[in-house]
Amino acid sequence: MAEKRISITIDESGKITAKTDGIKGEMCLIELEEILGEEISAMSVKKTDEYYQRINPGQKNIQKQGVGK
Amino acid sequence: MSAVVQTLTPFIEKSCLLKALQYMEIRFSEQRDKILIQGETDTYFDRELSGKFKLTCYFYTSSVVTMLPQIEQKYIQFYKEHMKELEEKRLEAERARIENERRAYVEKQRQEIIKKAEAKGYKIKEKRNGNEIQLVLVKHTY
Repeated sequence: MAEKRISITIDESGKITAKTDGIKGEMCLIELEEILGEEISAMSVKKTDEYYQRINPGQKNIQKQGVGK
Repeated sequence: MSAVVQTLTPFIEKSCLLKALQYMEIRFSEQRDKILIQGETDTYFDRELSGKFKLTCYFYTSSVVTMLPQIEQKYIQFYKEHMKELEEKRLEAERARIENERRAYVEKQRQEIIKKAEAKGYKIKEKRNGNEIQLVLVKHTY
């Protein structure tokens, strides 16, 4: 049984930080797009080394600036 | 020959004038926009069309007349305090409005994320850390 985990933090200013675990390849970005909506286009995506590692490609860190920031 | 004439500060804010009279221990009663001085014959402040309160008295030797400069000083002091208080209230109201807007925005984000995650079959654990919201979405697949 595999586990998909998305940790999302919304800080007091509305800034969102999201991190996926257990979602492989590009699917992690697609999954985040579906949950965070169109606003993901305003996000700055920081791809970690792991993103490029095919062995464990399912982890990404994504940071989004809140509106007005 | 020249002359310099200075008028009193116009008593426009009634509450400040009343406070000044109270401070000076001048007894009075109110009738709409008329402030009747007690213990003095026909002595009262009433509001002119211009908006200021003008002192009318039967005797120019009235104690209120002699106290006008002190009443004016206290009026100015209370007026400044009143203005400061109003400014603080205005700023507080503005601060509350901005804060409510921010809270509403964050809450909307939270609700939308939860709604979409639930629709995708995630279980959601939520934790609050002060003003920060932490959501952990978990889904098991076989």
